Amino acid sequence: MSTIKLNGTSSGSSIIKSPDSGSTNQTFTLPASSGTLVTTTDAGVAGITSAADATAITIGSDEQVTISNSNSADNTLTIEALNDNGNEANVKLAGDISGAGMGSGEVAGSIQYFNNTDHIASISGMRDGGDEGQLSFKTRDTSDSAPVERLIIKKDGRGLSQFTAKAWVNFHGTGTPAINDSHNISSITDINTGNYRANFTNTMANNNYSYCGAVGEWDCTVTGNTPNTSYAPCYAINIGSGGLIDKNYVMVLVFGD
Amino acid sequence: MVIIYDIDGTLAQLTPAPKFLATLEGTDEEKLIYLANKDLPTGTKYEITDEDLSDRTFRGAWEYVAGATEKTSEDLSLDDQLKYNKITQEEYDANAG
Repeated sequence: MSTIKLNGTSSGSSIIKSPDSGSTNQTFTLPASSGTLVTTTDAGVAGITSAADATAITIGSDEQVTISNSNSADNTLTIEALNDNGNEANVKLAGDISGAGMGSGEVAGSIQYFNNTDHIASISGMRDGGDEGQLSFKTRDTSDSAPVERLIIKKDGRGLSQFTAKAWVNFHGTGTPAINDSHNISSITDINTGNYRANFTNTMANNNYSYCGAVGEWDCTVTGNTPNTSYAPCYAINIGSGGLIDKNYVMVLVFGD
Repeated sequence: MVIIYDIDGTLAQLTPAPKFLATLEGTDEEKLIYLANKDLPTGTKYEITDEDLSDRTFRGAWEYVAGATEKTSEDLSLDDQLKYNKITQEEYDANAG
C-alpha cells in the first residue's frame, strides 16, 4: 500500500491511498477542466456506495439524472429539472413494456409507498392497449394483504371505482331529443312520452348498480325501472298528475360495477 | 339523424351522444350503423332518418313501418364487444380462436 500526500496551502493535507488489497493496475484520470472534484464537509464521499454497473447512475449533458437497469436499458428512472420544452420539472418512470405480447394492464412504472417494509399504497401507470395509458390507485386495508386497486382511470377518461359515477347524461326530452352532455353514454332511446333509456357506452358488469335522475323543473321527477346492463330505463313524471311527460333537462346519474 | 325502430309496437328513436360519435370514424351514416349495431339488440330492423320528428303530438301512437332503407342490426366485432364490456375476456378468448 502506498500513498500520495498533498500538503494544504496553509495547513492540513490530503492523502490519496491505494487499495488495501488487490493485484490489478488501476488508472484514475483527472478531468481536463478546472474545478472541484467532490465537495463535502470533511469526510470525502461519505455515504455513497455502489455494487452496480458503472452506468447505473448517469448525468447527461441535458442535466438529466438517469438511473438505469443493466438487465434492460429501457427500464429507467429519470429526474430532470427542465424538460425538452424548458418549462417542466419531471420524474419519469419508464418500463420496457413495448414488446410483442404485452397488453393492457402491463405496468410501465409505479410510485410505491412503504411503511418500513410493508407495501401500503401505490400509483401505477399502465398500458390500456396499444400506446394508450391508464392509471391505477391501490391501497392496503389490512396488515397482511397486498394493496388492492381502488380506482383506475381508463384511457377514455372513465374513472372506475365504487365512488365514481359510471355514467351520466343530461338531455332534452322535448321536440327532437338531444343530448346536451354525457359520460359513458352512447345514445338515448325515446320510446314514448316521458319514457327514455340512457344507453351505456361500456355496459355495466351486472344489474346491481344504482341510479337516479332528475328533471329541470320543480314539479317533475325521474323514476326508474329494473336496471339493465346495457341501459338505464328512466321515466319523466309530473308529480301532481303522476303522468309521463316530455321535459327539457332530463338528467340521469349511475354508480355501480 | 336518428335511428328509428320498433319497441313493443311503438316507434322508438335512438339519438346518438355527440361525445360517442366523436370517437367513431367514417361518414355520419356509417357512424349510426355502428351505433345501431352496438345499442340495438342484434337482428333489430331499423332505419336511419333525418325526418323532422319534433312534433310529438300523439307520441304514444307512433308506429314504425319499414321503409326502403330498412337495415338490420348486427353483432359488433369481437374486439369491439370486448371494448364495450359486452363480453368478458374469457368469452373473447373462447371465441377468438
